[in-house]
Amino acid sequence: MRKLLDFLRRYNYWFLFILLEVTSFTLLIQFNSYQQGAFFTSANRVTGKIYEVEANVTAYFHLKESNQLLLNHNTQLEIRIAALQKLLKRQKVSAERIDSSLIAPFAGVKFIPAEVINNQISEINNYITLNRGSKDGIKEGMGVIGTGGVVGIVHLTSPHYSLVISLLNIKSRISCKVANTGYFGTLRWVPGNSKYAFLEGVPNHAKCRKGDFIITSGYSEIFPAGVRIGRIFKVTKSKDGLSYNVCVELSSDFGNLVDVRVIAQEFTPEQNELEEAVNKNDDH
Amino acid sequence: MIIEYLKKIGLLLVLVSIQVLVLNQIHIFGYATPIIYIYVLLKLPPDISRNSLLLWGFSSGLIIDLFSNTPGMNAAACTVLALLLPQIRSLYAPKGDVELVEAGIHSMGVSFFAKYLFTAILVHHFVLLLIEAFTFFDITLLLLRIGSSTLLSFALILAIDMLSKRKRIA
Repeated sequence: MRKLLDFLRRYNYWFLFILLEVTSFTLLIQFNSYQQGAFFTSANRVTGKIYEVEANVTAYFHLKESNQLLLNHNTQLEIRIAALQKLLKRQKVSAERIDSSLIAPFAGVKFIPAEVINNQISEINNYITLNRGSKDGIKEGMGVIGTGGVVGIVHLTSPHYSLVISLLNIKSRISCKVANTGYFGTLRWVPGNSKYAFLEGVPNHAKCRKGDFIITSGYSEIFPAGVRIGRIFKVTKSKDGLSYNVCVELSSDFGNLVDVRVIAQEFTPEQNELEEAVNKNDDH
Repeated sequence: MIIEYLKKIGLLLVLVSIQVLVLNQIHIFGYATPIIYIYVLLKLPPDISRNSLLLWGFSSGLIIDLFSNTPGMNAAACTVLALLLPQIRSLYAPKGDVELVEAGIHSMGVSFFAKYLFTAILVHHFVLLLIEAFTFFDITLLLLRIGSSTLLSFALILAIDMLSKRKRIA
Protein backbone atom coordinates (compact mmCIF):
# COMPACT_ATOMS: atom_id res chain seq x y z
CA MET A 1 0.00 0.00 0.00
CA ARG A 2 2.73 2.42 0.95
CA LYS A 3 4.60 1.58 -2.18
CA LEU A 4 1.50 2.27 -4.22
CA LEU A 5 1.02 5.65 -2.54
CA ASP A 6 4.66 6.48 -3.11
CA PHE A 7 4.29 5.53 -6.71
CA LEU A 8 1.20 7.70 -7.10
CA ARG A 9 2.94 10.63 -5.43
CA ARG A 10 5.98 10.36 -7.67
CA TYR A 11 4.15 9.98 -10.89
CA ASN A 12 1.03 12.03 -10.24
CA TYR A 13 1.93 14.32 -13.14
CA TRP A 14 1.07 11.51 -15.50
CA PHE A 15 -2.57 11.78 -14.47
CA LEU A 16 -2.55 15.49 -15.16
CA PHE A 17 -0.86 14.83 -18.50
CA ILE A 18 -3.50 12.33 -19.53
CA LEU A 19 -6.29 14.63 -18.37
CA LEU A 20 -4.90 17.55 -20.41
CA GLU A 21 -4.39 15.42 -23.50
CA VAL A 22 -7.93 14.08 -23.28
CA THR A 23 -9.23 17.64 -22.98
CA SER A 24 -7.21 18.69 -26.03
CA PHE A 25 -8.45 15.86 -28.17
CA THR A 26 -12.04 16.40 -27.06
CA LEU A 27 -11.76 19.99 -28.26
CA LEU A 28 -10.18 18.84 -31.50
CA ILE A 29 -12.87 16.28 -32.25
CA GLN A 30 -15.69 18.60 -31.24
CA PHE A 31 -14.43 21.27 -33.60
CA ASN A 32 -14.22 18.89 -36.51
CA SER A 33 -17.74 17.63 -36.05
CA TYR A 34 -20.28 20.16 -37.12
CA GLN A 35 -22.18 22.83 -35.19
CA GLN A 36 -20.99 23.95 -31.81
CA GLY A 37 -20.22 27.23 -30.18
CA ALA A 38 -17.64 29.55 -31.67
CA PHE A 39 -15.95 29.98 -28.32
CA PHE A 40 -12.77 28.04 -29.03
CA THR A 41 -12.14 29.73 -32.37
CA SER A 42 -10.93 33.07 -33.63
CA ALA A 43 -14.58 34.13 -33.93
CA ASN A 44 -14.97 34.62 -30.19
CA ARG A 45 -15.19 38.07 -28.70
CA VAL A 46 -11.59 38.55 -27.56
CA THR A 47 -9.69 37.03 -30.46
CA GLY A 48 -12.13 38.58 -32.90
CA LYS A 49 -11.53 42.03 -31.47
CA ILE A 50 -7.74 41.59 -31.61
CA TYR A 51 -7.87 40.48 -35.23
CA GLU A 52 -10.24 43.33 -36.06
CA VAL A 53 -7.80 45.90 -34.70
CA GLU A 54 -4.96 44.27 -36.60
CA ALA A 55 -6.97 44.17 -39.82
CA ASN A 56 -7.80 47.86 -39.46
CA VAL A 57 -4.09 48.58 -39.51
CA THR A 58 -2.93 46.13 -42.16
CA ALA A 59 -5.86 46.81 -44.54
CA TYR A 60 -4.05 49.95 -45.65
CA PHE A 61 -1.09 47.95 -46.93
CA HIS A 62 -3.32 46.17 -49.43
CA LEU A 63 -5.27 49.19 -50.65
CA LYS A 64 -3.30 49.51 -53.84
CA GLU A 65 -3.76 45.89 -54.84
CA SER A 66 -7.43 45.98 -53.86
CA ASN A 67 -7.95 49.03 -56.02
CA GLN A 68 -6.24 47.37 -58.94
CA LEU A 69 -8.42 44.31 -58.51
CA LEU A 70 -11.61 46.35 -58.41
CA LEU A 71 -10.53 48.31 -61.44
CA ASN A 72 -9.90 45.12 -63.40
CA HIS A 73 -13.22 43.71 -62.29
CA ASN A 74 -14.96 46.92 -63.29
CA THR A 75 -13.37 46.96 -66.72
CA GLN A 76 -14.42 43.37 -67.32
CA LEU A 77 -17.98 44.16 -66.33
CA GLU A 78 -18.05 47.20 -68.61
CA ILE A 79 -16.80 45.16 -71.53
CA ARG A 80 -19.43 42.56 -70.78
CA ILE A 81 -22.22 45.15 -70.61
CA ALA A 82 -21.11 46.61 -73.93
CA ALA A 83 -21.11 43.18 -75.53
CA LEU A 84 -24.53 42.35 -74.11
CA GLN A 85 -25.98 45.65 -75.26
CA LYS A 86 -24.67 45.02 -78.75
CA LEU A 87 -26.28 41.60 -78.67
CA LEU A 88 -29.58 43.06 -77.51
CA LYS A 89 -29.51 45.65 -80.29
CA ARG A 90 -28.98 42.94 -82.83
CA GLN A 91 -31.90 40.98 -81.37
CA LYS A 92 -33.97 44.20 -81.47
CA VAL A 93 -35.25 44.03 -77.91
CA SER A 94 -34.97 46.78 -75.38
CA ALA A 95 -33.03 46.04 -72.23
CA GLU A 96 -36.03 46.84 -70.03
CA ARG A 97 -38.04 43.94 -71.36
CA ILE A 98 -35.40 41.36 -70.55
CA ASP A 99 -35.94 39.56 -67.30
CA SER A 100 -32.99 40.62 -65.22
CA SER A 101 -32.60 37.15 -63.76
CA LEU A 102 -31.48 35.93 -67.18
CA ILE A 103 -28.48 38.20 -67.14
CA ALA A 104 -27.18 38.19 -63.59
CA PRO A 105 -26.75 35.21 -61.29
CA PHE A 106 -27.29 37.49 -58.31
CA ALA A 107 -30.70 38.87 -59.23
CA GLY A 108 -32.91 38.96 -56.17
CA VAL A 109 -30.12 37.86 -53.87
CA LYS A 110 -29.39 39.86 -50.73
CA PHE A 111 -25.80 40.47 -49.65
CA ILE A 112 -24.29 41.20 -46.28
CA PRO A 113 -20.99 43.02 -46.78
CA ALA A 114 -18.20 42.03 -44.41
CA GLU A 115 -14.49 42.56 -43.93
CA VAL A 116 -11.93 39.82 -43.60
CA ILE A 117 -10.13 40.26 -40.30
CA ASN A 118 -8.09 37.07 -40.35
CA ASN A 119 -7.21 34.82 -43.23
CA GLN A 120 -5.18 31.62 -43.26
CA ILE A 121 -3.76 30.21 -46.47
CA SER A 122 -0.91 27.87 -45.63
CA GLU A 123 -2.50 25.51 -43.14
CA ILE A 124 -4.21 22.27 -44.06
CA ASN A 125 -7.54 23.53 -42.80
CA ASN A 126 -7.70 27.21 -43.56
CA TYR A 127 -10.32 29.49 -42.06
CA ILE A 128 -11.33 33.09 -42.61
CA THR A 129 -12.68 35.30 -39.83
CA LEU A 130 -15.19 38.01 -40.74
CA ASN A 131 -16.15 41.08 -38.72
CA ARG A 132 -19.88 40.41 -39.04
CA GLY A 133 -21.84 37.81 -37.13
CA SER A 134 -25.28 36.49 -36.29
CA LYS A 135 -26.46 39.96 -35.19
CA ASP A 136 -25.91 41.16 -38.74
CA GLY A 137 -27.94 38.30 -40.12
CA ILE A 138 -25.18 35.85 -40.97
CA LYS A 139 -26.13 32.24 -40.45
CA GLU A 140 -24.16 29.02 -40.58
CA GLY A 141 -24.06 27.55 -44.06
CA MET A 142 -24.24 30.81 -46.01
CA GLY A 143 -21.97 31.29 -49.00
CA VAL A 144 -19.24 33.93 -49.10
CA ILE A 145 -17.94 35.57 -52.27
CA GLY A 146 -15.23 38.12 -52.93
CA THR A 147 -14.29 40.22 -55.94
CA GLY A 148 -12.85 37.19 -57.70
CA GLY A 149 -15.71 34.83 -56.98
CA VAL A 150 -16.40 32.09 -54.45
CA VAL A 151 -14.43 32.36 -51.19
CA GLY A 152 -16.01 29.88 -48.81
CA ILE A 153 -18.94 28.88 -46.62
CA VAL A 154 -19.80 30.17 -43.14
CA HIS A 155 -18.98 27.51 -40.54
CA LEU A 156 -19.69 29.13 -37.17
CA THR A 157 -21.09 32.43 -36.05
CA SER A 158 -20.85 34.41 -32.83
CA PRO A 159 -22.85 37.63 -32.28
CA HIS A 160 -20.24 39.87 -33.89
CA TYR A 161 -17.90 37.60 -35.82
CA SER A 162 -18.12 34.60 -38.03
CA LEU A 163 -15.76 31.84 -39.06
CA VAL A 164 -15.71 30.82 -42.70
CA ILE A 165 -14.41 27.55 -44.13
CA SER A 166 -12.17 28.82 -46.89
CA LEU A 167 -12.13 27.14 -50.29
CA LEU A 168 -8.58 26.29 -49.22
CA ASN A 169 -9.73 23.76 -46.64
CA ILE A 170 -9.75 20.03 -47.13
CA LYS A 171 -13.25 19.95 -45.66
CA SER A 172 -14.50 22.30 -48.35
CA ARG A 173 -16.74 20.80 -51.04
CA ILE A 174 -18.43 23.01 -53.59
CA SER A 175 -20.72 21.79 -56.30
CA CYS A 176 -19.81 23.41 -59.60
CA LYS A 177 -19.90 22.93 -63.33
CA VAL A 178 -18.00 23.76 -66.47
CA ALA A 179 -19.55 26.90 -67.95
CA ASN A 180 -21.47 26.45 -71.22
CA THR A 181 -21.69 22.70 -70.70
CA GLY A 182 -23.88 20.80 -68.30
CA TYR A 183 -21.07 18.79 -66.78
CA PHE A 184 -20.74 19.19 -63.07
CA GLY A 185 -18.49 17.94 -60.31
CA THR A 186 -17.29 18.69 -56.82
CA LEU A 187 -14.49 21.14 -56.19
CA ARG A 188 -11.94 20.01 -53.61
CA TRP A 189 -8.73 21.57 -52.46
CA VAL A 190 -5.46 19.73 -51.88
CA PRO A 191 -2.99 21.27 -49.42
CA GLY A 192 0.21 22.74 -50.79
CA ASN A 193 -0.88 25.45 -53.17
CA SER A 194 -3.33 28.28 -52.56
CA LYS A 195 -3.85 28.99 -56.26
CA TYR A 196 -5.28 25.69 -57.47
CA ALA A 197 -8.09 23.30 -56.57
CA PHE A 198 -9.42 20.15 -58.21
CA LEU A 199 -12.74 19.42 -59.82
CA GLU A 200 -13.67 15.78 -59.39
CA GLY A 201 -16.26 13.62 -61.03
CA VAL A 202 -16.33 15.13 -64.50
CA PRO A 203 -17.00 12.22 -66.88
CA ASN A 204 -14.35 11.66 -69.53
CA HIS A 205 -16.73 12.25 -72.41
CA ALA A 206 -17.24 15.82 -71.24
CA LYS A 207 -15.70 18.49 -73.41
CA CYS A 208 -13.51 20.66 -71.27
CA ARG A 209 -10.40 22.49 -72.27
CA LYS A 210 -7.82 24.68 -70.65
CA GLY A 211 -9.24 28.15 -70.06
CA ASP A 212 -12.88 27.13 -69.68
CA PHE A 213 -14.66 28.87 -66.82
CA ILE A 214 -15.77 26.95 -63.77
CA ILE A 215 -18.91 28.29 -62.11
CA THR A 216 -21.17 27.21 -59.28
CA SER A 217 -23.86 24.77 -60.31
CA GLY A 218 -26.64 26.12 -58.11
CA TYR A 219 -27.62 22.59 -57.11
CA SER A 220 -27.08 23.43 -53.48
CA GLU A 221 -28.74 26.52 -52.14
CA ILE A 222 -25.53 27.99 -50.79
CA PHE A 223 -24.50 29.71 -54.00
CA PRO A 224 -26.80 30.76 -56.82
CA ALA A 225 -25.91 29.19 -60.15
CA GLY A 226 -23.25 30.92 -62.22
CA VAL A 227 -20.91 32.43 -59.64
CA ARG A 228 -17.35 32.37 -60.88
CA ILE A 229 -14.86 30.05 -59.19
CA GLY A 230 -11.95 29.83 -61.59
CA ARG A 231 -10.69 28.59 -64.94
CA ILE A 232 -9.47 25.20 -66.04
CA PHE A 233 -5.70 25.06 -65.81
CA LYS A 234 -4.99 21.44 -66.68
CA VAL A 235 -7.02 18.34 -67.51
CA THR A 236 -5.68 14.88 -66.72
CA LYS A 237 -7.30 11.46 -66.77
CA SER A 238 -8.09 9.92 -63.41
CA LYS A 239 -6.52 6.60 -62.44
CA ASP A 240 -9.55 4.50 -63.31
CA GLY A 241 -9.86 6.27 -66.65
CA LEU A 242 -13.56 6.93 -66.20
CA SER A 243 -13.39 10.60 -65.29
CA TYR A 244 -11.21 13.65 -65.61
CA ASN A 245 -9.15 15.27 -62.92
CA VAL A 246 -9.56 18.92 -63.64
CA CYS A 247 -7.06 21.31 -62.09
CA VAL A 248 -8.75 24.67 -61.58
CA GLU A 249 -6.92 27.95 -61.24
CA LEU A 250 -8.95 29.81 -58.63
CA SER A 251 -10.05 33.29 -59.58
CA SER A 252 -10.10 34.59 -56.00
CA ASP A 253 -6.77 35.87 -54.77
CA PHE A 254 -6.77 34.32 -51.32
CA GLY A 255 -3.55 36.03 -50.32
CA ASN A 256 -5.29 39.38 -50.62
CA LEU A 257 -8.83 39.13 -49.33
CA VAL A 258 -10.17 42.30 -47.77
CA ASP A 259 -13.84 42.84 -48.56
CA VAL A 260 -16.27 40.00 -49.08
CA ARG A 261 -20.03 39.59 -49.35
CA VAL A 262 -22.09 36.97 -47.58
CA ILE A 263 -25.00 35.66 -49.63
CA ALA A 264 -28.05 36.01 -47.40
CA GLN A 265 -30.17 33.32 -49.03
CA GLU A 266 -33.35 32.44 -47.29
CA PHE A 267 -32.97 28.71 -47.11
CA THR A 268 -36.12 26.95 -48.08
CA PRO A 269 -36.50 24.27 -45.44
CA GLU A 270 -38.01 21.83 -47.90
CA GLN A 271 -34.95 21.27 -50.06
CA ASN A 272 -32.67 21.01 -47.04
CA GLU A 273 -34.90 18.52 -45.29
CA LEU A 274 -35.18 16.44 -48.40
CA GLU A 275 -31.41 16.40 -48.90
CA GLU A 276 -30.80 15.56 -45.28
CA ALA A 277 -33.21 12.67 -45.50
CA VAL A 278 -31.44 11.38 -48.58
CA ASN A 279 -28.05 11.71 -46.94
CA LYS A 280 -29.26 9.85 -43.90
CA ASN A 281 -30.47 7.03 -46.07
CA ASP A 282 -27.12 6.93 -47.80
CA ASP A 283 -25.34 6.52 -44.49
CA HIS A 284 -27.27 3.40 -43.61
CA MET B 1 8.70 34.26 -6.96
CA ILE B 2 5.39 35.85 -7.97
CA ILE B 3 7.22 38.60 -9.84
CA GLU B 4 9.16 35.91 -11.64
CA TYR B 5 5.93 34.28 -12.80
CA LEU B 6 4.35 37.60 -13.76
CA LYS B 7 7.41 38.22 -15.92
CA LYS B 8 6.90 34.85 -17.59
CA ILE B 9 3.24 35.63 -18.23
CA GLY B 10 4.34 38.94 -19.76
CA LEU B 11 6.83 37.07 -21.95
CA LEU B 12 4.10 34.64 -22.98
CA LEU B 13 1.76 37.48 -23.98
CA VAL B 14 4.48 39.19 -26.03
CA LEU B 15 5.43 35.94 -27.77
CA VAL B 16 1.79 35.05 -28.46
CA SER B 17 1.16 38.49 -29.97
CA ILE B 18 4.19 38.21 -32.23
CA GLN B 19 3.21 34.67 -33.13
CA VAL B 20 -0.38 35.46 -33.96
CA LEU B 21 -0.12 38.89 -35.51
CA VAL B 22 3.15 38.52 -37.41
CA LEU B 23 4.48 34.98 -37.77
CA ASN B 24 1.19 33.25 -38.53
CA GLN B 25 0.73 35.65 -41.43
CA ILE B 26 4.03 34.85 -43.14
CA HIS B 27 4.55 31.53 -44.85
CA ILE B 28 8.00 31.05 -46.22
CA PHE B 29 7.92 28.77 -49.29
CA GLY B 30 4.28 28.09 -48.42
CA TYR B 31 5.27 25.49 -45.84
CA ALA B 32 7.21 27.00 -43.00
CA THR B 33 5.53 28.90 -40.21
CA PRO B 34 8.00 29.57 -37.43
CA ILE B 35 6.66 28.88 -33.95
CA ILE B 36 8.26 30.90 -31.19
CA TYR B 37 5.83 30.83 -28.29
CA ILE B 38 7.29 27.58 -26.93
CA TYR B 39 10.31 29.68 -25.90
CA VAL B 40 8.41 30.61 -22.75
CA LEU B 41 8.24 26.95 -21.70
CA LEU B 42 12.01 26.70 -21.95
CA LYS B 43 12.45 29.87 -19.94
CA LEU B 44 10.37 28.68 -16.98
CA PRO B 45 12.41 28.17 -13.81
CA PRO B 46 14.15 24.76 -13.98
CA ASP B 47 12.92 23.75 -10.53
CA ILE B 48 9.27 24.18 -11.52
CA SER B 49 7.04 21.24 -10.56
CA ARG B 50 6.08 18.93 -13.39
CA ASN B 51 2.40 19.57 -12.83
CA SER B 52 2.70 23.31 -13.24
CA LEU B 53 4.96 22.83 -16.26
CA LEU B 54 2.20 20.74 -17.84
CA LEU B 55 -0.40 23.40 -17.07
CA TRP B 56 1.83 26.09 -18.60
CA GLY B 57 2.24 24.01 -21.72
CA PHE B 58 -1.45 23.29 -22.04
CA SER B 59 -2.60 26.87 -21.52
CA SER B 60 -0.06 28.48 -23.83
CA GLY B 61 -0.97 25.99 -26.54
CA LEU B 62 -4.66 26.65 -26.02
CA ILE B 63 -4.20 30.42 -26.40
CA ILE B 64 -2.50 29.90 -29.76
CA ASP B 65 -5.28 27.49 -30.75
CA LEU B 66 -7.92 30.15 -30.13
CA PHE B 67 -6.25 32.40 -32.66
CA SER B 68 -5.45 29.86 -35.31
CA ASN B 69 -8.75 27.89 -35.31
CA THR B 70 -7.12 24.63 -34.32
CA PRO B 71 -8.79 23.96 -30.95
CA GLY B 72 -6.82 21.36 -29.02
CA MET B 73 -3.98 20.85 -31.49
CA ASN B 74 -1.32 23.18 -30.13
CA ALA B 75 -2.54 22.43 -26.63
CA ALA B 76 -1.94 18.70 -27.12
CA ALA B 77 1.48 19.25 -28.70
CA CYS B 78 2.63 21.64 -25.97
CA THR B 79 1.45 19.30 -23.22
CA VAL B 80 3.57 16.52 -24.72
CA LEU B 81 6.50 18.91 -24.94
CA ALA B 82 6.00 19.98 -21.32
CA LEU B 83 6.03 16.34 -20.27
CA LEU B 84 9.26 15.62 -22.10
CA LEU B 85 11.16 18.86 -21.38
CA PRO B 86 12.87 17.66 -18.17
CA GLN B 87 13.92 14.45 -19.94
CA ILE B 88 15.32 16.36 -22.90
CA ARG B 89 17.21 18.59 -20.53
CA SER B 90 18.82 15.79 -18.59
CA LEU B 91 19.64 14.04 -21.86
CA TYR B 92 22.05 16.79 -22.86
CA ALA B 93 23.10 18.13 -19.47
CA PRO B 94 26.84 17.76 -18.97
CA LYS B 95 27.72 15.29 -16.18
CA GLY B 96 28.33 16.79 -12.76
CA ASP B 97 26.67 19.98 -13.87
CA VAL B 98 24.69 22.06 -11.42
CA GLU B 99 21.12 21.26 -12.43
CA LEU B 100 19.45 24.51 -11.72
CA VAL B 101 20.46 27.01 -14.35
CA GLU B 102 17.85 28.88 -16.32
CA ALA B 103 17.79 27.89 -19.96
CA GLY B 104 19.69 30.27 -22.21
CA ILE B 105 22.76 30.51 -24.39
CA HIS B 106 24.87 32.28 -21.81
CA SER B 107 23.84 30.26 -18.79
CA MET B 108 23.98 26.86 -20.50
CA GLY B 109 26.60 27.33 -23.16
CA VAL B 110 25.90 27.36 -26.87
CA SER B 111 26.08 23.63 -27.59
CA PHE B 112 23.95 22.50 -24.63
CA PHE B 113 21.29 25.13 -25.22
CA ALA B 114 21.23 24.61 -28.98
CA LYS B 115 20.76 20.84 -28.64
CA TYR B 116 18.13 21.33 -25.94
CA LEU B 117 16.24 23.89 -28.00
CA PHE B 118 16.44 21.96 -31.25
CA THR B 119 15.11 18.73 -29.73
CA ALA B 120 12.32 20.58 -27.95
CA ILE B 121 11.18 22.30 -31.14
CA LEU B 122 11.42 19.08 -33.11
CA VAL B 123 9.27 17.23 -30.56
CA HIS B 124 6.66 19.97 -30.59
CA HIS B 125 6.48 20.27 -34.38
CA PHE B 126 6.45 16.53 -34.80
CA VAL B 127 3.46 16.04 -32.49
CA LEU B 128 1.64 19.07 -33.91
CA LEU B 129 2.02 18.06 -37.53
CA LEU B 130 1.35 14.42 -36.76
CA ILE B 131 -2.05 15.34 -35.29
CA GLU B 132 -2.69 17.37 -38.41
CA ALA B 133 -1.74 14.37 -40.52
CA PHE B 134 -4.75 12.50 -39.20
CA THR B 135 -6.93 14.73 -41.34
CA PHE B 136 -4.61 14.88 -44.32
CA PHE B 137 -1.63 12.68 -44.89
CA ASP B 138 1.04 13.36 -47.44
CA ILE B 139 4.46 12.21 -46.32
CA THR B 140 6.51 14.64 -48.41
CA LEU B 141 4.39 17.58 -47.35
CA LEU B 142 4.62 16.44 -43.73
CA LEU B 143 8.43 16.12 -43.77
CA LEU B 144 8.85 19.40 -45.64
CA ARG B 145 6.70 21.19 -43.10
CA ILE B 146 8.40 19.61 -40.08
CA GLY B 147 11.88 20.26 -41.47
CA SER B 148 11.43 23.82 -42.63
CA SER B 149 9.36 24.95 -39.65
CA THR B 150 11.81 23.42 -37.18
CA LEU B 151 14.82 25.11 -38.75
CA LEU B 152 13.09 28.50 -38.91
CA SER B 153 11.79 28.33 -35.35
CA PHE B 154 15.22 27.22 -34.15
CA ALA B 155 17.00 30.13 -35.78
CA LEU B 156 14.42 32.63 -34.58
CA ILE B 157 14.41 31.49 -30.94
CA LEU B 158 18.22 31.43 -30.85
CA ALA B 159 18.23 35.01 -32.09
CA ILE B 160 15.63 36.07 -29.51
CA ASP B 161 17.62 34.43 -26.74
CA MET B 162 20.81 36.25 -27.75
CA LEU B 163 19.01 39.58 -27.89
CA SER B 164 17.25 39.21 -24.56
CA LYS B 165 20.53 38.32 -22.87
CA ARG B 166 22.35 41.31 -24.19
CA LYS B 167 19.63 43.63 -23.01
CA ARG B 168 19.87 42.33 -19.48
CA ILE B 169 23.60 42.99 -19.29
CA ALA B 170 23.31 46.52 -20.61
